[in-house]
Amino acid sequence: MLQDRRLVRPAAALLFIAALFIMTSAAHAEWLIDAEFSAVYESNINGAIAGQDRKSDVALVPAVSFGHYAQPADSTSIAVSADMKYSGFARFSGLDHLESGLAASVKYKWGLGSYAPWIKIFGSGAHVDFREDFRDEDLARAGLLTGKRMYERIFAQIGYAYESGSARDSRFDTRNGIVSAKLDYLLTESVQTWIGYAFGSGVYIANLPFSGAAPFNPRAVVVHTFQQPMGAFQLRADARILSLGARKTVTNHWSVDVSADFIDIFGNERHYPDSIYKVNAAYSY
Amino acid sequence: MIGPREGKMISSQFRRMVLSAALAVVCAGNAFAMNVRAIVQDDAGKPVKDAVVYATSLDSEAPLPQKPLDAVMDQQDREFVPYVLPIQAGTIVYFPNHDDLRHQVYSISPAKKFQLPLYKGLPPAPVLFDRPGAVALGCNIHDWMIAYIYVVETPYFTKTGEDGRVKMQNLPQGTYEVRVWHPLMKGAPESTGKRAAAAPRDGADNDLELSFRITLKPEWRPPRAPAVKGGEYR
Repeated sequence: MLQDRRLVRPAAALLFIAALFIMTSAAHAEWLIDAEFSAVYESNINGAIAGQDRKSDVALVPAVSFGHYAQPADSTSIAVSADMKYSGFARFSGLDHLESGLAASVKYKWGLGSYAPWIKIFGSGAHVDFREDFRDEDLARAGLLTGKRMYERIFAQIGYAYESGSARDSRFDTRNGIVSAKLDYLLTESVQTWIGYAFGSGVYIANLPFSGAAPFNPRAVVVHTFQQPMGAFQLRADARILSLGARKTVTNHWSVDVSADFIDIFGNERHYPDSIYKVNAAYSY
Repeated sequence: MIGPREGKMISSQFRRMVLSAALAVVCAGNAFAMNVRAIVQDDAGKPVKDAVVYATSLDSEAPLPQKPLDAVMDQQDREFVPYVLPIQAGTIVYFPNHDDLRHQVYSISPAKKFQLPLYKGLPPAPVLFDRPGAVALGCNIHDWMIAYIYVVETPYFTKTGEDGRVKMQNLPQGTYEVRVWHPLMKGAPESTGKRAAAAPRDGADNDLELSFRITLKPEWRPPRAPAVKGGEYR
């Protein structure tokens, strides 16, 4: 599904147009205006195996979203948005990028009240414009998510998402499917914590000193992104991601999050560990 | 945030309130009245806001309950206003929605089960609350929206402000049980009951001071705080 890059943009556009069509027929739509500012640290941003080859970096990431949320029926809601996110890296500026795209989702809730289970189908399409042009890509993402408030302080959700990235240089194409589960726990009346686990399988990009990369993948490309020449190559692998986080409600419209993702990508019988730590402030209209 | 329609309704309520107060004095049969001042505090001694304080007559010859006034439970900025609305059984409550989006108000509480399908502005009809008890309100779209209507059988009720204090004036002479209810209170209102009695005293009104201590529990609302992609209710 969507593995052919020629389908990515038309599929995303079609999804948006279909959702927009339904939206405009809804009598009362609610505006979505969301903004987020994050500081992100990643321990192995180049996806290397050996400790001495791993590069870490910090990125500042502002993001905004504008859109509509509509409730065409008691049990069904639709959201469409235009999203823009910039990532500016402290060390490896070749990775700086602007991601802009469209997203749509349809959510159905069974019954009344906060304990009623729900299911959401979502899709998005985005163009990512990197400072290093060869990395430019079109991203398409689709999936479904279902959740339920289990107890007054515990919320659970599971989901599946498929993501495909078609890069200007096809040797940077990626794709993966991810199954995820997440539990949210209200620690206090204003602090929400969560733990999540995800398993993904697909094609990722890894980097090794060039001499080491070629045996893994003869299509390895020399990149100078990381202050030394490295070989970037596609890696068919599995990914395991453990996520932990906490969110503090500041006001009805503001919150502050801290989170950590511990990632282990396993391919070619080797591990590519990575950790991502994030602090962000989010505003929602 | 009160529109012309509700303004007219509230003006009508005020006239009825004045008439009801005058009627109460006449029905009391004598000039003596009782004023009850109360303070509601939590275990730590902090004043409790939004506690309902109500007095129920224990006299068999108590005056008939006054006809209750209409009441309003508003919706503003995706919250119910007020958080706690005490009313007398038989009260009609209007649910105007002043947000620029639709709400779906419901209750599954035994004292009153109802649902107002998605609406903006005023719903087609108000809701009659004719049974005593606590009614928890929610919005099926915005799960964090929670409020409470507390229905009492007596016309003598009020709720505390920020300072945890209330004042009930001109209760007809007699014996009352004064109770407290709060949505986050542990235990039943019956456990808070205090007897308040007043008799004629040299032509002067009786002023009674009561204090209540209640234990509160946390309120576990679904979070409203924003979460940019994949926000909680979208």
